[in-house]
Amino acid sequence: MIERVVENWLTSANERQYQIPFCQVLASEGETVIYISPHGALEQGKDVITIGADKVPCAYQLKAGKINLKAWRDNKGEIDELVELPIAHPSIRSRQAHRPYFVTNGAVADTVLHRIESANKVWKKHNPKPLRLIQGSELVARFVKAHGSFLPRETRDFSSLLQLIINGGRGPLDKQRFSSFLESVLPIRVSNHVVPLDVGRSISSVVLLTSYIVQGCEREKNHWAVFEAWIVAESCILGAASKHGTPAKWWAKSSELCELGAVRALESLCEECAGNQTLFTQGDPFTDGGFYPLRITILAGTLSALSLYHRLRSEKWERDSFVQDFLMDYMKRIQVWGESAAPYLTMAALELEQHGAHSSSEGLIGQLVKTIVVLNGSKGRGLPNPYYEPEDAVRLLSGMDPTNPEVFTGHSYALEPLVEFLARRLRRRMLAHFWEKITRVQFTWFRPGEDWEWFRWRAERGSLDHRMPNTPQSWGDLLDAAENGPTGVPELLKDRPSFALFFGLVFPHRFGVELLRLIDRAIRQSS
Amino acid sequence: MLPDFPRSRKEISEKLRLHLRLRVQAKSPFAALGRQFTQHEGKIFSYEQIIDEGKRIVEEGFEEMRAPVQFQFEEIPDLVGEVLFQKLDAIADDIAKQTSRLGYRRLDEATRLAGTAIDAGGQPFTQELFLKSEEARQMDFDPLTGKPDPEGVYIAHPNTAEWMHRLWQEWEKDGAFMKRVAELRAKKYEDWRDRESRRKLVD
Repeated sequence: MIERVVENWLTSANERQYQIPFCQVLASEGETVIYISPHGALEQGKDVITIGADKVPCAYQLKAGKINLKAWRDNKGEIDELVELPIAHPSIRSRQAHRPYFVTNGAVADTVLHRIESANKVWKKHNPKPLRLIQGSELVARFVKAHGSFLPRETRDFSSLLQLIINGGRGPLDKQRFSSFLESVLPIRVSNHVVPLDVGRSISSVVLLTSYIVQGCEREKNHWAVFEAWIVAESCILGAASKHGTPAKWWAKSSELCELGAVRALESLCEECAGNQTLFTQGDPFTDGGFYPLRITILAGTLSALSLYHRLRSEKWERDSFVQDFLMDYMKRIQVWGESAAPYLTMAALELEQHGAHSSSEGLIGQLVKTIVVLNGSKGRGLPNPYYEPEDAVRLLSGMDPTNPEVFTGHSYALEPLVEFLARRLRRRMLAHFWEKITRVQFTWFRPGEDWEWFRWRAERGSLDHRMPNTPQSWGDLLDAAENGPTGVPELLKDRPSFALFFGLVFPHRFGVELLRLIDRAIRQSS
Repeated sequence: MLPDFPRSRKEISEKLRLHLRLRVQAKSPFAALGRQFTQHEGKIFSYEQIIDEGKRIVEEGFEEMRAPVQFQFEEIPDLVGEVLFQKLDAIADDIAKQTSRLGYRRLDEATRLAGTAIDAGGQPFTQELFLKSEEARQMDFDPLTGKPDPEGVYIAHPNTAEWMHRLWQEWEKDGAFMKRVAELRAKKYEDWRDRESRRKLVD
């Protein structure tokens, strides 16, 4: 069955779509992936560079579809570079001969096979190692082998995989179902200790399965859903590794590949936004108005997070001025659909700050605090909590979820981190103005039972803690608390502040005091 | 399997659950009172409780409630409309009783710990007892009208409630007693203002 899934996926993938899972296959076969060409663009004919298990460097050029003579001729220049030009990478000794590979997810015509044979004789002058060919059928076999036994076992889980593949398209990702499916493959729900080798293998399988699942969204260019899928996958990987204390060498590359998938999705989203000519409207004009502010808020948050991500990693990113312009032009269009909007607005505020717009940044958070205390501090239903995704919240508030009796007044998950955000920026007067209203809303936070449960979509163990804001509250004490380190955050998150940016967006119910302290501190240190 | 219609049945089931919930709230004041939280993950929760010594953190888990329901195959085909709602009502009764029992127990524990529990020891409800209970409770007021907000909630058996209502009508004619009630309310109002004035950010 899995062969059919892999085959179907692979035959319709382009080279960019199968690059990440292909790297995962190489890694699970024992190669060390040291370079993946950014944005799918070739560098000296090399899409992927690895060091083989026998320490020989390898370079791969990835193509899609059937390679006939015309395609071969069209790509000949790049293939010459792949074979002839030595690998220029700090991890590889210069002049060390590399093994070149030409990879396609389709078939290669016989005429091309003859050409390769002849060309290898000519290339021998430059590179003693001949060009090797990897075709679609071999790829399928290697992908299937990489899964090993770490596949959905129960019929229900397999059906879930198929439904996720089929349903993936234009709508938001069903994170509940997706993470539940990944947990059926990873050793998350088991109580016994699992050896690192098996944790590593299950993690490899998760990366491949995620690639199959997101293909429908990639086809529709639903970059937001693709981004969320990769972050959920990375989070599940960190959860499994954390639960079993698995050393990083068994999963770090998989985690990096997931993050690369997420970053690429956001970069594609940014490119689409940069080229947008419709003021970010989309689809049926009769129904778009109600969802337009949600779209703008999601864009503001995700694009800001991407910009901050590059900044935290000291990477130059040419689109940060576009993000700045977008924020300045469209901030007036944002909408707080519920508390799950808080991470998006916070990312936008943090990004605005990076461009010197401190007043706009703090004003935005102040406005959010005001919205929460007004709606959740009075009678009525209140603002949907962070367990409500944007669409769920809109459905609830517009009466499209008539049997749901949940009310949200009297408490807030996002209020305390936002109060601390303002305290760290010494906005005492603003907080003093709101404090009376703040005291009418309890600070609420779900404390996962164990570190690894942080990374689960829904933790099994943990406590929902409520605390009344102090009356009166000492400014000095508030400031001291706000300047504290993120002590309660799992080590695997503490080590990955750039991932934490994305994690907060995709897991808004984990966006609390500790996570924001971690993010804020990392950004301040990088500035 | 036999022909079935799961999508619509699921929808109806959700509506019936909501109906049941509302019936329980109507039958048990404890189910309608206080703040409601839906916990989306984890199995325990904590909150702050004000006691004589200040605050304490209470950590608790959930208590399971069971309402056994029995169906005879013969009755299922006719379980629609009024008959169905009667069945639901019976379940709501059971849950409401359990909710009230749990509510009384929790209220008793909390008030004893906070030092606000008053035990009449089986003696009749008197003016002194009323004033003592009013003295013990924290009252909030509407900032615009200056009236208690809420006015006060008394949970009692319907017969007791009726008797208390008659008693109150008698007490209202007692000028000296009503003066003491007014004085107590004034003190409570000052206490409330004092609490409200502490809702601020200070040095």
